Amino acid sequence: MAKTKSAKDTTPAKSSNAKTLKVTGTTKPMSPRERAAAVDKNIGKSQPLRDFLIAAGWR
Amino acid sequence: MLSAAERQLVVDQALALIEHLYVHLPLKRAMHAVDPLQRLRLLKRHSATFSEGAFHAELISIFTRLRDLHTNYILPEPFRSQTAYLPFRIDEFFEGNEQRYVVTEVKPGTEDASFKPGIEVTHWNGIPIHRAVEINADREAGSNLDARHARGLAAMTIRPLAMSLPPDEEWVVVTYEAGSSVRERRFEWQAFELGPGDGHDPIAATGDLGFVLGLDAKAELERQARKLLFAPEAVDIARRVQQQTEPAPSSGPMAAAPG
Repeated sequence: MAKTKSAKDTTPAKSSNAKTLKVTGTTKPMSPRERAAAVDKNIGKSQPLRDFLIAAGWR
Repeated sequence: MLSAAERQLVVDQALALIEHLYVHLPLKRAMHAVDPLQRLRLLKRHSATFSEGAFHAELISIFTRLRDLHTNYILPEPFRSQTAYLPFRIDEFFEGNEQRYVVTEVKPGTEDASFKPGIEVTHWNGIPIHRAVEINADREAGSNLDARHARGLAAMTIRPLAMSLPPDEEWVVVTYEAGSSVRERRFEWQAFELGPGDGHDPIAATGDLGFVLGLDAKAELERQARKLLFAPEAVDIARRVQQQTEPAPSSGPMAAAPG
């Protein structure tokens, strides 16, 4: 007979594809200089729109 | 750049879509007094005389004037993955019945002693800011005036070139009030590429997902760009979570949604 979960058993049921997320590190506030560097890194190479449009043949 | 044959194909596909499949056409014609089919026929006839930019601009305009956020013309590369931006964001508020506009975010590294969140913008290239937003709103696809106004306001400083006309101006002179003084600052429009890991590409969904997805793709691209420009902490957290949940690196210029 299959084992059934009792009403007192408060262990959450796990689905077969359940995955435990482990958040590592902390989120510390960035200084203004760190924020500026992070944004530049995030957006990568930025260029004047005019240069892009000319290179792409729009203008 | 598109060849002449590719231009003809694009226009033929747009004609087939709007003439034979687009069930809202009678409604859109009645509501907005537009004739996209005739504009497409004229474009097909004269497309060889159009520059690359003028060809795309005409198609964007034809689709925009359907005033339907879910029926769009999406440009090919290199425009598709580029976003034009100014390094700040403006929003509106009301004082009584008067609409006023305030800078709400500034790209880190761009602030100075007077240009920072909270300042009130009064003019845009010498145009009163409310009128400048109205002009921009007319280039957007919202189905009513309020929706167009909201889209026009968002597009004042961020435009995904996949679905937006680039600005005509190469720079913007912003007039603003800082304390008791009135100041001006000039900003040049910039462009950057949304890269892998910047979020799911809302215009790449295909198959079943593409069929059921009902989001405003341009607004989603704008949201991703705002996050990259103004919220480095949020980008950092999102990337750390992604590293734990999606170990396999995405490929292509933008991670495609599962199809």
